[in-house]
Amino acid sequence: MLKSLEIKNFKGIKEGTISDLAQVNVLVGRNNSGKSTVLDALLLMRYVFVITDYLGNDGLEWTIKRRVERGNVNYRELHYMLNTQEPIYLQAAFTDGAKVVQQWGVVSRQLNLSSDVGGNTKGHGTVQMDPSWIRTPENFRSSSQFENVASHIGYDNATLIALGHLLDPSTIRFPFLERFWEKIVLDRRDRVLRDMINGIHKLNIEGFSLMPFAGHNRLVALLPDRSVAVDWLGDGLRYALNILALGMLLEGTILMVEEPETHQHPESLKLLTRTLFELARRQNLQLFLTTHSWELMTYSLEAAEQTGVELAMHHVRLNDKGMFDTRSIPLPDAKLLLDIGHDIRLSDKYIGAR
Amino acid sequence: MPPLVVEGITDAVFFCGLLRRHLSEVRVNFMDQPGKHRIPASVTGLQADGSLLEFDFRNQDPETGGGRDRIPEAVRALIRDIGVLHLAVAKDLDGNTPDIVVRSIRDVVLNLLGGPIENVSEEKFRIQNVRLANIPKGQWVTVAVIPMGLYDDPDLKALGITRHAMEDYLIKMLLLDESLRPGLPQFRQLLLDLLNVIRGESYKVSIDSSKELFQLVKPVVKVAGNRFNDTGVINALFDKANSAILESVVAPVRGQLQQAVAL
Repeated sequence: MLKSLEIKNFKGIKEGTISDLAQVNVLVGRNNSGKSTVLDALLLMRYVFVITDYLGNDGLEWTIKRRVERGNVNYRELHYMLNTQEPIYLQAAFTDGAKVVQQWGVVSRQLNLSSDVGGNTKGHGTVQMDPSWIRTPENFRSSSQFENVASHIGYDNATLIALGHLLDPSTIRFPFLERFWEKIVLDRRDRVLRDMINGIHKLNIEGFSLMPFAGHNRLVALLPDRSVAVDWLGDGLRYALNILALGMLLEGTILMVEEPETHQHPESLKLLTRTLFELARRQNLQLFLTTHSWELMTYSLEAAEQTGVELAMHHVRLNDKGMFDTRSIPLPDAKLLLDIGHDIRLSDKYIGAR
Repeated sequence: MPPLVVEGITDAVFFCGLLRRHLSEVRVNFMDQPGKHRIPASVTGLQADGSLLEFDFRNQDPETGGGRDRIPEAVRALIRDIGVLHLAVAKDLDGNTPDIVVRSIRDVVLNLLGGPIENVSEEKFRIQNVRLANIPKGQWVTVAVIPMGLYDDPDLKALGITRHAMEDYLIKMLLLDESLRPGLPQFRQLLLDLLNVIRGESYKVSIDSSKELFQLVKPVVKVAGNRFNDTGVINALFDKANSAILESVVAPVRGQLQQAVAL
């Protein structure tokens, strides 16, 4: 499990570390405080190992483009203040003592990757990136240096194969469920998914099915008296469906969800939160949830107590010099702080300038 | 402005009432979480010199009842987990002297931060951080303690009150201000008689705290519509109190509040 992540010269972060990560991590903080950048950093780390994610997106390209659809992918935008002279530095530390370091240099067109366990470097390698970066990781993966590194960071048992899977509210616009529906149906996880969604949204869906529609297949919810394309259903249901479907397919990896509260009624959010914690426990997932929602924070505390899953709340902030500052608050203290009326989201009001 | 750690909802209501009478353009903000809409979250207002006074309350959840036992935990969590650099703590004296109350909070903060300590005033101190990761090493954390209660007050002493709390001020206001208890001119005697009966051979109920005494007198003084609602009664007392008498009773607390804010 990921225990800490150090980030340098990446997007809005000049320097900073998020540490004391738990199995479920709730990231709170003001807008532009670096919450999503943490998730993007994990996506970039994963990119070395897996180029295309479950959603069929090129991880790197999607990281750059997910905010704004642009014609060209400009890698400068990954660098802090667009300063490509300084390489991007990412260091992930895991609970078993393993560490992985990636350094991406646009100017040098060089990707350095190393891993160590217990302070001893076990593998390292450098690869020249091609001008577009896009195919570089594939070259790297076929190299012996990569095997040196990967064998020491759990690549084989998939702890890093999918270092990050990220869902954000924009995914509800894509009919991405079709992409991996086969995997869900093969061992009838569709029934589990149906029960989850019915429970969370108080519906009576009898099942999901792919149906031909205007020349392509479309996922359809089978209701007692009619069938409705999932794309026509409410945004809250579709986002929950996407989150849970992806969560069910993953095991022993990280699942990142941006603002799971999006479009959710508070009661649905409570049940969705509890279901996510149960998924985390059952499928050995490490969750990263970003939020601005008071309800999600309190429901997470409840879910952690009910399921026994370890939870940490992380208050993050970013100053105008790009210094990223995080406070990790474990469960009992997070509960106490909310109990005494301290809104963790607004903590910056009481913290001195860094 | 520092967060103000209090023991419970009634203390927050007390401070709101006190500042409402003293400041201009006072605004009380209530918690916006479901089920907590009637709990004061913060109070802001302008002082005579035009400066803003603002306090955010902590430690007053109705389900847990707040409580003085939770004050050390609350102080620790705010400093250790959040990295709060300046806070105020209002804690009932109970059976202690003001000095002991200040020392009890100082010990909590000292154990957390571990650094050298400097006294800013009798009830305010600052301690340097040498231990915590959430606060830069060498950073000073300032804490102001407001020991709540009228220690050594002769009127309360005459009533046999030895455990002091926020309610001391309310009892004192009732004793001094006839406008708060219409129809009860002999209020002081009534209290003594009442206490004598309750403490006497027939009942043997020990009442030595103003908290308990206030619960007894609350329905008798009929100051608010709902005589059993603490919040309503405290608000009504502040609304109806004679300005000069009120000032004489609460001026020291208000002074402590203002001192708590100053860095």
